[in-house]
Amino acid sequence: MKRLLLTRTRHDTTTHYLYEYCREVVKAAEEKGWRVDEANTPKEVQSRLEKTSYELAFFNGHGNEECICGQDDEVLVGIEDASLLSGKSVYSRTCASLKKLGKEAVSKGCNEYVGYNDNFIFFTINEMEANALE
Amino acid sequence: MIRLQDDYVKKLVVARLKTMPPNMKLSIGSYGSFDKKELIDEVVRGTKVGDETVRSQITLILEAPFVARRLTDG
Repeated sequence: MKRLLLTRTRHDTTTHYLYEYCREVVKAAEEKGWRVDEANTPKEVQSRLEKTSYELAFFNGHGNEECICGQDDEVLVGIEDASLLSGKSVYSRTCASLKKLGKEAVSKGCNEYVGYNDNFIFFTINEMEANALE
Repeated sequence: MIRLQDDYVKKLVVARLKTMPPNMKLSIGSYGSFDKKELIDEVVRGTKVGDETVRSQITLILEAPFVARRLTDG
């Protein structure tokens, strides 16, 4: 069984949208027989990355060139932890982490790192925030 | 050479932001979500959020023809 590690939070508008956008991904993954594990604290995320052979790690939240963040912008994976991503495929739906963390992760054995080299900027409509998928 | 900090560029971006509907916000990275009034204020004051807004708006303007071409080429 293939395993996916998912991180997502909803502590502000941006992360709320990312949280909601993950619903379809989780549904599709489970329909295809993947086991989806969710984690959002640094300790839990790092422990899971160390101990479990995830095929895919899917990060959703804030970030910068050197780190991926979780709840209340705590650092989940920093550039110094890049080796934790070794042997995995990563999709980091966070700002800018491709620039440095992504490159470092690949140099440390990450199979592939799909991410972004700039900030996420998107429009939201007040009345639709409660129904982000619509 | 025009720079993103130039007054002309800021005026252009402010003019674009003024067309935003009042119930719309722009979410900018980890800086947060901002409505029209807040964005205009940030641009005018030249804050980090303002600079990021200017950069993204100018990028949109510059990229629009290429995006339109890709969409119409199917």
